Amino acid sequence: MTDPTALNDLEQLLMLAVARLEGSAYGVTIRSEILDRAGRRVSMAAVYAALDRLEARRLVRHRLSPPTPERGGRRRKLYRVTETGADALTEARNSMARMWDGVDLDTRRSA
Amino acid sequence: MSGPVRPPRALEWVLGRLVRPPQREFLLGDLREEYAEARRDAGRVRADGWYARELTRSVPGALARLARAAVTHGSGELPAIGLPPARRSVGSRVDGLVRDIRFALRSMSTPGRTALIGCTMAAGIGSTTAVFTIVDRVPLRAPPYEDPSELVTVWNTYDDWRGIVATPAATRRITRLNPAGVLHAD
Repeated sequence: MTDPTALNDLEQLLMLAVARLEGSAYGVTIRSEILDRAGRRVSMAAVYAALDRLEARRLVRHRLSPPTPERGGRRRKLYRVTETGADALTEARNSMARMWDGVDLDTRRSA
Repeated sequence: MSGPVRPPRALEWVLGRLVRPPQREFLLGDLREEYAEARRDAGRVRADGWYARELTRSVPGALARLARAAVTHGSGELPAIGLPPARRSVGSRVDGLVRDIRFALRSMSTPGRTALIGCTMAAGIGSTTAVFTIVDRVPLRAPPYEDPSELVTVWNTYDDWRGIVATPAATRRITRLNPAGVLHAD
């Protein structure tokens, strides 16, 4: 069975964006953060689909903001990373660091 | 005084139908914010184009969801490895098809790939149409003459001028050719 805390590439980007934005993380800011820092353009539908999956696995949580006229009377869904999510992100970073440890791509290129 | 900037109503309505209800309010609200910013920065035409592209990006997920919803009697689970295809449920087969469609749509992420896929499809459709047109006109349909069963094939035997007439029923020698070009055979 798949480990519920295992994160794919997009999930890591989303959770890191949520962690960076500290309380002001919602669709617009998350997408903008990923584009600015990772140069990756993600559709809003993909953002929400992935956030739904992460929330079902208890890696992120949300609260609702009051509706605003600029949004056509709609609310914002503001996300934050849970403790389990923070552990999953740390494990993802550590496992990548372990994989990179000892890899020297410059030597391979010059060979 | 004008109210808040809003995207084209039709596009917003269609997008609302494509998105799952739990996400609809938040996704449409976010896109309305981004649309207002795009409109300020780039003008109405470009902002409308941006919104339309956002809409098309939501299509693969929506198609997958609709296909799954249509197969209510399917198990929705993948078959075990090695299971013969005949025992796979309708649901799992549709899931596979949906994955293929989503993969194909995602592959159209760059203009170059989209053009390549478009050209390949155009070549396939064009060649199929050409072959069908020839098969339809030549062996399947009757020739465009009043009484096509009376058509004959004529060829020369080189030993005299008369030649041979072949009809669908028989092969006969030409005995006479009148000035009007009408053949007489024995």
